[in-house]
Amino acid sequence: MLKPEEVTSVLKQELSAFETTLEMVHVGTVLEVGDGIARVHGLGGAMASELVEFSSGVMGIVLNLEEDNVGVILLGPDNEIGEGDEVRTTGRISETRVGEALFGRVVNPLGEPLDGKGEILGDARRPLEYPAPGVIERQPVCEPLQTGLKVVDSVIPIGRGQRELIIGDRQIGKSALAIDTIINQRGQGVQCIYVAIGQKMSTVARTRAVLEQHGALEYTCIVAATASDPPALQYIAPYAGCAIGEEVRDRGGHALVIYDDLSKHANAYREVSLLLRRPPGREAFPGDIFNLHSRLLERAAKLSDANGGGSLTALPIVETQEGDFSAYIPTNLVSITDGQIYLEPDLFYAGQRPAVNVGMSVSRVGSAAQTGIMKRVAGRLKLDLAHYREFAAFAQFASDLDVSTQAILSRGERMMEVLKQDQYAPMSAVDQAITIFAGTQGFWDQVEVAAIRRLEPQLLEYIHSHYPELVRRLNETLRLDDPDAETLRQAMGDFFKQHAAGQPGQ
Amino acid sequence: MAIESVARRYVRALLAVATERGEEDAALEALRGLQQLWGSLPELRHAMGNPQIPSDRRLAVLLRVVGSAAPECVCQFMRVLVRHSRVDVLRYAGDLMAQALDEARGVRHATVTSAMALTDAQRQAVAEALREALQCEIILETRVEPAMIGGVAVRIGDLVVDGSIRQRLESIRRHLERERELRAQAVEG
Repeated sequence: MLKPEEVTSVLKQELSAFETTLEMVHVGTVLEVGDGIARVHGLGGAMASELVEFSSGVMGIVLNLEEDNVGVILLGPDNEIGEGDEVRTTGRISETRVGEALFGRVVNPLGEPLDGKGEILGDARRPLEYPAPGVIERQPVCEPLQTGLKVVDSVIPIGRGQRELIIGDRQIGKSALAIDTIINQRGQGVQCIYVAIGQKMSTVARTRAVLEQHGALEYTCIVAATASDPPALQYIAPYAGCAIGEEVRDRGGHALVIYDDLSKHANAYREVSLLLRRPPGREAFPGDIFNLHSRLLERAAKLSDANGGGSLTALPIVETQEGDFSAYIPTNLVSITDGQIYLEPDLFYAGQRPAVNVGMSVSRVGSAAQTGIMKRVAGRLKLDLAHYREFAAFAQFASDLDVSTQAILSRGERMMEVLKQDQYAPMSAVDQAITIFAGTQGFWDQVEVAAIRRLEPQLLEYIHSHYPELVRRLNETLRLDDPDAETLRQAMGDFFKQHAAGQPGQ
Repeated sequence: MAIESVARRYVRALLAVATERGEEDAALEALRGLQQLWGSLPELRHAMGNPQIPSDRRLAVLLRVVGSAAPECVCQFMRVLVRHSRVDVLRYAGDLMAQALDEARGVRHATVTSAMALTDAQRQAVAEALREALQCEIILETRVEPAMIGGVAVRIGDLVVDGSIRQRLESIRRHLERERELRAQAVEG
């Protein structure tokens, strides 16, 4: 029990932050409420996307301004609001908390903590909706964003400031690919924001645990609007994640934001739009669904050096139904983004993981966003794989193949094997390059396909222990000069000779 | 379309005509009376909504209700309403007419609530301050509400300026509650 003088000091302390100012507010009364939206009569002075406060303390965002009423989406439970309740304007545009304090935390789209680790310090805030940087403020994407996945970094390189869509059916590793990318940002100076939209709370908890286990949570902020949250929160979640990333970008840092996933976001927006009686269009989505996603993804940018040179990379995820990527939302996103990583169920079930369909995936930024070493090593890879697929398709019908066709097939088969990778095991750029170099130089052709995944770590281990100087130089310059390529070729020759003689890596 | 926004259009049109003829106050008077009757007489509402009664008889009833003292434009208004089956506009017509007239004249009504009755000088001061802030003529209406403890609260349409002691205490209470919640969270964390 506190003593009276202690009570006084506690009160003093708490009231010290309190001040009142006389302010003019617009008020209205609730006409109807339900399903996460409210219609309010009055509020004549409300602005579009202004925050309003209900008498129960629940906040809302003004979405529809009509002649005699205002449509509000609710950011909290609607069961505490009744017809006739008072609603007041706040004069603030919807905003979220941003800043360093959010990293390592799980927050809702308003920046309030969900992980029980106490208050988030700092009151930096940014509006949810913010115009994207213009032409003058930007520069072309030039720095690579390493995902740590061989198949992505070699064939579909992603640059800082790019928007690359991850598209595929459910349960074939879309989120896994994104999470591996986050894990690989350790020590690369990229801060990550993972926006979970409409997922189960248990999935979010699992993702958080995985990130923590791999030491990735400290530079990651998880923004969660789960399936049980009101659709309004799911609708604003990606904008909140984007605002957090923009803060990093505008300070000259590098941010990576993952929207997992935008199909659920579109569904949440469809829900509120229909409830607000906006006219439905194709697949019942409202007419501005394209604008909704493009104004979100346009905010990903690589700023010019005069503006600090920061970047915000976006990896939106979209789920397809039965591989139907020509549905409305997937095609919209494909056309907005600078390329897509297409994941295919057939590959996934055939054991090719990550199940990236190299033929249908593309990065429109291309090799401008690739390290020198990878550019040199993997330059031909995409073409080789395309060749392989072409021949593999018709080789199924022919029994006797000529030698050159067989060579293409066996090379392709081995390259596909090399591109397989375990989950949560991202590789450094140099290690990726070494493995792929062994493939393009034909070293893997000497061993059985089944032995490749077993031998790969042994090869890397061999190179690291026998040629530490070379590896150090490659890591530093991230370039592969002719003499180094020659050394590497020799090293691999030795390794594979020893392996053939039955004593690999010794 | 909601009947209220329909009514607003009809009333605006009537006001335009009435202003031309200088009959706006008389029209307002008539519409207020009609709105009151409409609210208090279910028979009138039923009769007007009944399709079995021919429209000319309905019109005759309305015109008799309005009376011969009403300006011509109001009688004309009744004819328009009956012809377009929009007699239910009368439910809102008085209020909307008053609103539209105030808007046209640049006048706003303010309700000032205070814990104790205001002196004339205080009323003057409040009206002057509001006129200054809103740049329009103000018609003050005062109310006394002892529960406010002290200070004044002003309401002009949707706009509210609450400077009462009750409101300040309320915001202190909310502030303290929020602090306590945050503290509790920090302890848990």
